[in-house]
Amino acid sequence: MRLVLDAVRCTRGDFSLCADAEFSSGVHLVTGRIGAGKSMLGSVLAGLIRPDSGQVVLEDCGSRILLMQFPEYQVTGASLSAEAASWGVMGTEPVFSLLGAKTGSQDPFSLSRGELKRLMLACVFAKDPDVLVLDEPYASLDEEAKGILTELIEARRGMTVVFSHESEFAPQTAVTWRMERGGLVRE
Amino acid sequence: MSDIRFRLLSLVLLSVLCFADLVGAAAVFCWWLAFGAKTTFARLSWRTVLPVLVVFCLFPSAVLFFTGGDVFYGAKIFVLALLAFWFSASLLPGELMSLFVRVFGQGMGFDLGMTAELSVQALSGVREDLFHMRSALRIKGQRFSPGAVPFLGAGLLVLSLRRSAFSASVLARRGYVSGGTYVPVFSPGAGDVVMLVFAVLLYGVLFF
Repeated sequence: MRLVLDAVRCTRGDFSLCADAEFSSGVHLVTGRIGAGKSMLGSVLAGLIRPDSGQVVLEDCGSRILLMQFPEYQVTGASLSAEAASWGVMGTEPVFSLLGAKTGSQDPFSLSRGELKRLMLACVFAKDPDVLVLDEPYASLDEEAKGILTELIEARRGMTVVFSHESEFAPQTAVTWRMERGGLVRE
Repeated sequence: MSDIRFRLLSLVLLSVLCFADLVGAAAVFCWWLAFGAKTTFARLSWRTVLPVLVVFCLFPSAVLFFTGGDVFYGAKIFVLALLAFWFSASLLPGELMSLFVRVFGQGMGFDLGMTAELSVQALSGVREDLFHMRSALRIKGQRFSPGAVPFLGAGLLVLSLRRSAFSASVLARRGYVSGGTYVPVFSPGAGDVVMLVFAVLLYGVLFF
């Protein structure tokens, strides 16, 4: 499984993203300051933004999912169970109990941001795509949930790209990348 | 260089002319083509402008057509909406603050100006939220549909309230109670004067 960014260039307003990189199976951690272009790179990796030039080459990457930083963006279900169903999962998978994600008839918007984040994480891990892009997955989680999330990331097959400022929680085996002024550098 | 005072005065004059007479509305439309179209589409996409114009124009026209009113009301609203888009697209950060402080002073003017600036900032936040929400629908393999509107609306509301609460807490921690000190700054240019002069000259159409 490979995902290659071949001289990818994206421009939005005054900001330009340039990336020439190759991602393979396993865990990748992308760090960088706010405004460095992490979210834009995440969208490119997930196929949501088409590069202005260059190309994204996929090899054996069937499904790609991006989990956004703010879980409210991704709510489309009237209840917690409907939200799980909207991701194509049952809500009874073991990852739901591991993360303490609730299901049922409750309105998703009645949850706190941390609870909603755990629900969304449970949904995408249950979905288990080939390429999983997580934008600030540790934000809004307590210490215990952060530890569980790291274990889930480590246990995953396929490719997991984690965009986070909280590198201390990320798996030790992760390949580390740094975003700097719109460029991507492997460390 | 642009001065909100000239633009606001032009907006008021043109809005009155537009509503007074259908020929006036046509003249204002020409003014918008000459002075406003470039600014409008430099900041806003036609995908944003067009649906709003269609709804604002067609709905009142249809209602008045069936109720026996002024069927050209929709045309006037169409031109007024174009003016509103132009004015909002031409706003620069801090201009509303300067305007309100100059008109109402450092007490009420400061409060009104800050509220207006925060509102404009919130609108740009909502635009960004909507972009992300549409991407989120694509991630789930769903398309934008009327059924998704309640969830998108609820999401926008929750995110907007969170941002407002954050702004309010920042202001409270900085000791804000009411009023403040702000030095209004305006940068008038020749273009502002030309726009205003033409807005005044357009009133000539009422006498022909």
